[in-house]
Amino acid sequence: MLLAPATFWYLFFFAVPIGFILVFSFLTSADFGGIQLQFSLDNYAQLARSTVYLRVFRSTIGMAAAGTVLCLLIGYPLAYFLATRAGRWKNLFLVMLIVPFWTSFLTRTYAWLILLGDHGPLANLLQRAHLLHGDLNFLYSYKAILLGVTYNYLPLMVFPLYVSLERLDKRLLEAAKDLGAGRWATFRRVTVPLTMPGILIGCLLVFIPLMGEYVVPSILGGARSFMIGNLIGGEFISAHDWAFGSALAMVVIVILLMLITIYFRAARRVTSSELAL
Amino acid sequence: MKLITAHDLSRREFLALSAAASGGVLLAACGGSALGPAASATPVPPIENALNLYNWSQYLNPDTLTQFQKLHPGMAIKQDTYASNEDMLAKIEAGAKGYDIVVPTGYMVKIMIDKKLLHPIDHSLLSNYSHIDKRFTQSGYDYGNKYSLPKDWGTTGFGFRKDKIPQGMTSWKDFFEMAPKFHGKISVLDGANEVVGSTLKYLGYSYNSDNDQQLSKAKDTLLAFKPHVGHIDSANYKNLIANGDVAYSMGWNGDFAAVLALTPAPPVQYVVPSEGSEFWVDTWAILKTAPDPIAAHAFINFILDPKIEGQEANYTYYANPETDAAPYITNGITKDPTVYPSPEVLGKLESNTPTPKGQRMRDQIYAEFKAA
Repeated sequence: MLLAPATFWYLFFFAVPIGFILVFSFLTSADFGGIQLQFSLDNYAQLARSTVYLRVFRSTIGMAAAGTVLCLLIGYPLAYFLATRAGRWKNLFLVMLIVPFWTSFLTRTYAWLILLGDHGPLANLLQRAHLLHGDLNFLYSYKAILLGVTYNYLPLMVFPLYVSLERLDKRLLEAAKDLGAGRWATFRRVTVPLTMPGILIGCLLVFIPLMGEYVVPSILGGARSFMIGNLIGGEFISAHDWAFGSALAMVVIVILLMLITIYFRAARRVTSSELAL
Repeated sequence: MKLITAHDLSRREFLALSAAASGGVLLAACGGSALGPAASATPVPPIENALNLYNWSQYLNPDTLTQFQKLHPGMAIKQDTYASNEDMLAKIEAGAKGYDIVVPTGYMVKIMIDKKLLHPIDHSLLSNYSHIDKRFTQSGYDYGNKYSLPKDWGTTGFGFRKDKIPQGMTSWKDFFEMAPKFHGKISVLDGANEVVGSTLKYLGYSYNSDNDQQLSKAKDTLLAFKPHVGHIDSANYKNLIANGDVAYSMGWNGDFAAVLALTPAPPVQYVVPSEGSEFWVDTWAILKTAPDPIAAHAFINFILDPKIEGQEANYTYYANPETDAAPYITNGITKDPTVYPSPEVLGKLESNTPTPKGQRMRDQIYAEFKAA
């Protein structure tokens, strides 16, 4: 009986929707939206026939991985600074990190359009300094999307890192120093392994939603498709092909499940071996 | 950077900025005179007290709403907006309740009739029906206006920057074959039928072809064209062309009229391609689930009054289906060939009415075009 609420939650918000997608992906689309009860493997065949979708799947995984790595590379030093060096300014900095997120995600992403446009302030500045001739040509590209997702997902990385760095027992760092370890060795052999749970959670929190990102590429991306989320959205909303859209969504789910399984296996090995050292 | 306002969402937005300022005075002037006669000419049947419109954004003169409200004090009039026919259909099909009137384009009227989403029009409630030009009462999507009444009409073509292309452009041939020269500085509409239909016209076929060979040729053309395309966009392309971020852009005539209405007017020119293109009609339709179909009829009849139609054209910059409205159109757009094309150009236009098979193939080709 105690499990009932959890079971209900799991059933209605997870199992049922995914069940629908799974079933839809093996049926046929009705004209102009909706589903016909007619079994078909056509959706998966259509997917396999064209190399276009394969390229977008690869590009999506690449984008999610690149975004996660960038968030980690920027987020770790930031969290490290906040947890160990910010001192009495710590709370102020934390608030500064959160405040932009009180503004709509959409507005903040649109702001980049103005900042980085061919006639925007950055282009003007560079042109005036004679560092840029002609158009900036930054927007509506792979790099623009990467910038947008890194910017938007950074807090998801920083907060778990901050928590694990904050909880780090500083006496262990002193012990490492007493035992003759230099700064780099201490960081690599003590700090990183002990904050590994934060790193792992942060990467997961960034990577998974990034795989399904839809808004950033539709604003900052141009005509070339880089993210599968936009293709799936298009199939449901404008092409009215629910069955094919469901098949695309199923493939994303399967890819994510495989990647996450591999990730957890690797993570377990890394954490156990690092901690054993 | 010139932005034509952030909420600029659809082809329906006209005169958002500068012209609205100057046009507003005219509207106010003619609005006052339109009110009296309209009130007496329109017999008002007893109606309930709410009317809910689901319309494209900025596609209805606010003065028209105010005047209708004055005729029916106490009626709560509300308007929600959408950005594409497909968005609207998706929402209605998902069970959105409470709307009386929607504004589908011709091809969407046909789909909505087939899906039994529309309420039949009761012509006895429309005393102003006779003002509609004959050719808009015999359209293929809804012959005899059984489910819809024409609202505005226009063309799908493209606009180009005269400063970037001084030699000019006249055809779909120019549109597709000049692409390598303007790599990444080209924008197309975000719509399967517009994109595939235009390609079919370029290849010399019908806008509505459902011939396998012709469509597969169109697909090859599109996939070869795709690397040069910088934007797929039906909402923001006005800003792109106004700012010179693209050299040319597929779009609807009224949107380019809106761009040209900016001060100073950007060096942009709209083209109805010489091979021919799409001729579209937007309509008023009443939903089967409408809480108050009588009020909906009254509202549509009010709009069909030529004075009000004229007032609408002054606001939207689109051609309307009533020749009778011409005397009330004050801003000279009846002489603008991009709004009212010549009979010669009109003869080359087709309406967008693909077969279900053709529609499926367009959607598949388009999905691949977008993904590429």
